[in-house]
Amino acid sequence: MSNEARKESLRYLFDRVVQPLGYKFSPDEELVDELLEAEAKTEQDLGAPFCPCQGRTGVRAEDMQICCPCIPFHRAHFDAMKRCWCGLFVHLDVTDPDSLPQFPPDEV
Amino acid sequence: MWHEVAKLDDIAPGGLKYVRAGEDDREICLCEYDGSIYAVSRRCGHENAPLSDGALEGWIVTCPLHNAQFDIRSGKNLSWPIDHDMGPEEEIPEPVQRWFKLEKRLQWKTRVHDLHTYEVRVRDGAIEVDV
Repeated sequence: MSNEARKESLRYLFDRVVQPLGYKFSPDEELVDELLEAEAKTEQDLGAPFCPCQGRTGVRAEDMQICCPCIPFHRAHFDAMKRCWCGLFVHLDVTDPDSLPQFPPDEV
Repeated sequence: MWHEVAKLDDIAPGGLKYVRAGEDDREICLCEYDGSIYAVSRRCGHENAPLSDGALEGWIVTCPLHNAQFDIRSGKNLSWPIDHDMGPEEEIPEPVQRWFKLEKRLQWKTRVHDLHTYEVRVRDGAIEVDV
């Protein structure tokens, strides 16, 4: 199986989850490709596509909350920034992801 | 050779159905996606588990045993096998943990094959598969 095939299927499956939540893939195709590549690799190594920009704590309940797409677990923070942490997903109305502010969760 | 295997009404939208066809009684999984019927080998390309007991999400079927995924349109393998999440390791009895480890080791030595796909046609409400 090729990594490309896995990336394509992750993209398809994630899209079905995030669209009803009001999100879409970032218009930055290069970024999306890079992040999906990382997630496919993580899934192969660890069994789940954990967020590429977050560290796992080793506590299962916490780690499952950074399993992509993790929007439902961090909705308030992501909605305030109109993007998820790594930028893989943005709000449906976003056309320029680089213009979105980023701030820590305690500033929401 | 074409074989009638089911009626269109037998399969729900987004559903899977196990049928048999041909002289060798081949096991086939019918899949409904977006108004079309697709037919793939019912046995998973990883460890032969019955895909008709799995889950169909759009054009991706997921095996119930180790979650290997396949494209029902082409039969192409789309993912590595992934173990079911059995919860925290400390809650699993030690002999069972040993079994999981052995199984995992063997799993990674098992190549996942693409699925065989079959031509499908629908005539007068009947689904026919070319076997």
